[in-house]
Amino acid sequence: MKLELVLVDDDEVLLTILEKMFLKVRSDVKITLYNSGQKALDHLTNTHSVSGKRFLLVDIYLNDMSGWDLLDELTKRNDAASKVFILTSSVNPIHLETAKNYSQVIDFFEKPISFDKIHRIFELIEKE
Amino acid sequence: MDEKSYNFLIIEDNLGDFILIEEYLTENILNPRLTRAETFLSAKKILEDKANHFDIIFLDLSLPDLSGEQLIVGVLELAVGTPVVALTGFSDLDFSIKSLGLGVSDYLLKDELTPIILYKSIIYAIQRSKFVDQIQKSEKRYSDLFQLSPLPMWVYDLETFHFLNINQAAIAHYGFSESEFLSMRIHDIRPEEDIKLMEEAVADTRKGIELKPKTVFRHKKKNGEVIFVEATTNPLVFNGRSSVLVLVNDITERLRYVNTIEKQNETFREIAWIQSHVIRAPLARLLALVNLLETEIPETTEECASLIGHINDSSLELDQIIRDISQRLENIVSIQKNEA
Repeated sequence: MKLELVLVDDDEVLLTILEKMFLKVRSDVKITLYNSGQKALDHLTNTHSVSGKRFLLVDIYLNDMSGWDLLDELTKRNDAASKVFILTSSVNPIHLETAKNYSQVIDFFEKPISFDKIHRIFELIEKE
Repeated sequence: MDEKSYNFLIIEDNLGDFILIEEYLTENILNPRLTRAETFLSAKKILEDKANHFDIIFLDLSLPDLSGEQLIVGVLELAVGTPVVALTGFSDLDFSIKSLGLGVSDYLLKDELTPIILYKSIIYAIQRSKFVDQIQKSEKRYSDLFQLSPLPMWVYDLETFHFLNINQAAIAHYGFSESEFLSMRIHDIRPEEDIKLMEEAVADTRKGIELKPKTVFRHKKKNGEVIFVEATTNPLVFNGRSSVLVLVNDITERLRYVNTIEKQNETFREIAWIQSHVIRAPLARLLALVNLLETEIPETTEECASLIGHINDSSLELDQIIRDISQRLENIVSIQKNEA
């Protein structure tokens, strides 16, 4: 049963970098990339998680909506299977506070992403 | 016996009558000082001399050079505030009564004159004159407060909406002359689309609901310029009409200033956002790339590894600078929010 990762960021170059880095750490992961919040939401609606759990890495600023909008939508849909990591280029501490209000958010990371952070993400996933 | 010193001007051509008055005066007043004029012209000369001061003027209504209404008007003009008491015969009774309407303080029938009537008339006229003077001063004070107010003020009729009184500041500020204002209704200084709003406010005033002080309205000047004003209103009765006293403060400039600051703040917030997100995004990408690059090239030379290290350090340094600027911008933005 492959671990499911959904990466959502409007920076397409970063998406490919992220995919490469995640696969470098663990090759047995099913990764899907989305450059918009809506596309990611559509994916989550149309597919069912095989393992019962899937992990999202979401940027706060997306082109079509904010990361918070996406989280609100997940809450509205009672999507218990989707767990979320926030990854943002913002250095505004208020975002960390906002993130704490969402139960499905596991952790909050500031960009840039690094192998250290990816290892940390996998560790946290193991605990879930 | 009255020991106060009184200065009398007696305008009387008949010497007998003059002597009679002089006699009567001395009965109740210890030391009356009398000046006599026999004609209007000589009275005029005396009154025009600023050195002279009189407590009261007695005026015979028929003098050789002037008589009747013209005489009264002429003397009152010269008397400026000094009470004038008319001396008449029976034949002039009707006219004497009319003279009160012209501004004469009292009239005395020579044939019925007694020392006590004369004295009573003097005291009464002087006291009344003092009282009128006080009222006039008080009226002038209020009129000055209105007229000399640096803020535009006016009174409008609550029923007809017409301007009833307008001060200099309003004339200067709105550009309409006083006579233009007095022929206008308060509708005429409103932009078309605000008339309904104004009528609602007036309807409230009619019901006795007081307008909140400093309510902001839009007014229109004569040149068509629309201004924002804080208006404070007070109901009052003006010349027997149910009216409203309005005081306005033009806050157009202030609003424009606030508006400019708010626009600048908005730009500031945008810069803060760009700083925090847009500039950091490619930098974050660059740092991730460097991180990836280190692992992508396993057999890298020492020199190459050191170069990559430099790119990494430079990028991190740039990242720190951006974070510092972001932090400062956030502080300012949050101060603005708190103040707002």
